[in-house]
Amino acid sequence: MMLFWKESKKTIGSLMFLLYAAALLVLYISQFVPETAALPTPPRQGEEESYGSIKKEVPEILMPAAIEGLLCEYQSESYTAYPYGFYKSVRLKEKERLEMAAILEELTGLTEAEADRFKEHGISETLSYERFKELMNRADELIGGGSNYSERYLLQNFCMIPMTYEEALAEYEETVDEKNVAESYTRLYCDYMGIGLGILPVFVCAGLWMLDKRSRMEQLIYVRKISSAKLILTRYLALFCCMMLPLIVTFAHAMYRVGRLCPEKEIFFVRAFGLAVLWLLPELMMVSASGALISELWSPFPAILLQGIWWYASVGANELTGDITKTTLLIRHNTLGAGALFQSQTADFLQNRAGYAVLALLSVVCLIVVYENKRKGGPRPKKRQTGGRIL
Amino acid sequence: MKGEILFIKILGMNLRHHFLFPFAASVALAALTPLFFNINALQGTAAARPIEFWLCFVGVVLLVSVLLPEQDKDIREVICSKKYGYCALLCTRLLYSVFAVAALIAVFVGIMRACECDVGIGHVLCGTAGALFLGAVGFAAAGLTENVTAGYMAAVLYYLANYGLQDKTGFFFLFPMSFGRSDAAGVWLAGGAFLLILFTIGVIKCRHKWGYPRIKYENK
Repeated sequence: MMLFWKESKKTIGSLMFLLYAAALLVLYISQFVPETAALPTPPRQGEEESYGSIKKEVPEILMPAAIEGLLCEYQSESYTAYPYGFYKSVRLKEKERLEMAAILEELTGLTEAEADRFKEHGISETLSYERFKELMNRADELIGGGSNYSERYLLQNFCMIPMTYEEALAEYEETVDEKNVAESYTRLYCDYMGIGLGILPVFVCAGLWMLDKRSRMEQLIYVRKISSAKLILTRYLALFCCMMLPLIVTFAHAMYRVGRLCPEKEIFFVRAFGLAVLWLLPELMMVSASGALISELWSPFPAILLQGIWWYASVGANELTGDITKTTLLIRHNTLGAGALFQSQTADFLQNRAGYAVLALLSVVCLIVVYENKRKGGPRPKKRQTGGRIL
Repeated sequence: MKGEILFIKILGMNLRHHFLFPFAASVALAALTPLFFNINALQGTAAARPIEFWLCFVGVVLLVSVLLPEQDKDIREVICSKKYGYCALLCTRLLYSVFAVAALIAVFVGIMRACECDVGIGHVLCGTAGALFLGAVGFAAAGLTENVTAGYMAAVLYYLANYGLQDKTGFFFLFPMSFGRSDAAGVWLAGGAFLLILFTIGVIKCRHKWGYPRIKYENK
């Protein structure tokens, strides 16, 4: 316990932690606080353009739109794809191009020469929705995955339907309902804070993990009686708990503001707190653990570099709302509404967060092994030889 | 003549031991650009996005790393006792690092041009200025706190602030071309980078001469 307090004191007193806390605070004040100035206004009848749109599986809209999109890309011989979440322009080889032509022929009922008549002719009359989905999957495979016709992007690209007044009103009521209002604001809070948590903890970890080395205390600590597991776990826990402090403070303030927005309602804070814990803690655990592990293995520089690349990739890989996957580090939900959409992705959300929590714990175990190995005099990164010359 | 030989010796030694890893890292960063951005047939503001949004990190990697070897206090003390001087050594390292930033961005812009993007010399100059300014922010933070990690963090925070604040960063906005402003904004960025580096070196020089100003930042 003594060591935990010492480590916590060291963390809180460090410049890196102060910068981390200040950055999170600025992020919170500049992005989230303005959203809590007032409750969103209910939709008004007759203002259709302000209702937004909703992803719906309507074969009559989806099939012609998707087939037209595929036909356009086929004719321009360039297909847009996001195989790993990043943009890629794909050009098919001759064999694949011929197979794509056959797919289009089945979809449209037109030959390649007649393809320009698609707008007047429409889709093939004999095409069923099931067969359409099979052919779209095959087209996606030919492109290499992650294309506009993949299961993940198909509805999003070709079947976003404007909401009716009734749908917009239902969504609004669900958002500000006393059971959901705290959760709605928590999702937005987690979205903003998650962006910061994807990168900022690595600086604190990398900076503090190398403190022993910088203070030339490494060898002194190695010969102490304390076990490597106890030392590393205590340090990691202290670091983790300290980095949670700004989150606890800002979350409490966020819930206070939400409570003030709806004074007449009984707000379900505990559920909101549970959601925030599930959302943000695995991310914080993962970024801290990987930062500490890479710093211990090599140095802070690669830890920051790799985390920076991972963070940038995660920020760019996802849509702002409704695009939760099993693997991405950052989960985005940049809207107060769309609660039903979020609920529909709960399984992916839970798998994602559980996966990162387990991965973080595994990284900590690796960290203990690496530290123990160093302590026993095992292999370390080679120091560069400068032939005795320092300059 | 002796001074020149010493300069060349020091330059060679630093290039061999302290430049290769950061340079390899910045080449890797540049090589990753097509993963994050399309670099084919871009026009107008879209053509500036890969340069301003991603390649600016090349400046952070190369400029902040100038202070990396002396994170070890003993090495710093030995170097300060040498005739060549710590500040002169920093200037030498900055010289080749700035050149490397410009060269990397120029090569990348050349590749973009080969991929039919509408880019030119303005993109090279303004992109280099942005990368140098972001690098200088990191260099200043690292130099003033004597902590390279703080340097990297400050640069990332400034980058994030440019997303959030945009116009409020005024002349030192990192993404002028991507937001349709003239590439002449690069002059401010380059000037700002030069002044930041000069200020930091001045502070480091004072610190070595008189022992202050120094920021105490960590509990031992």
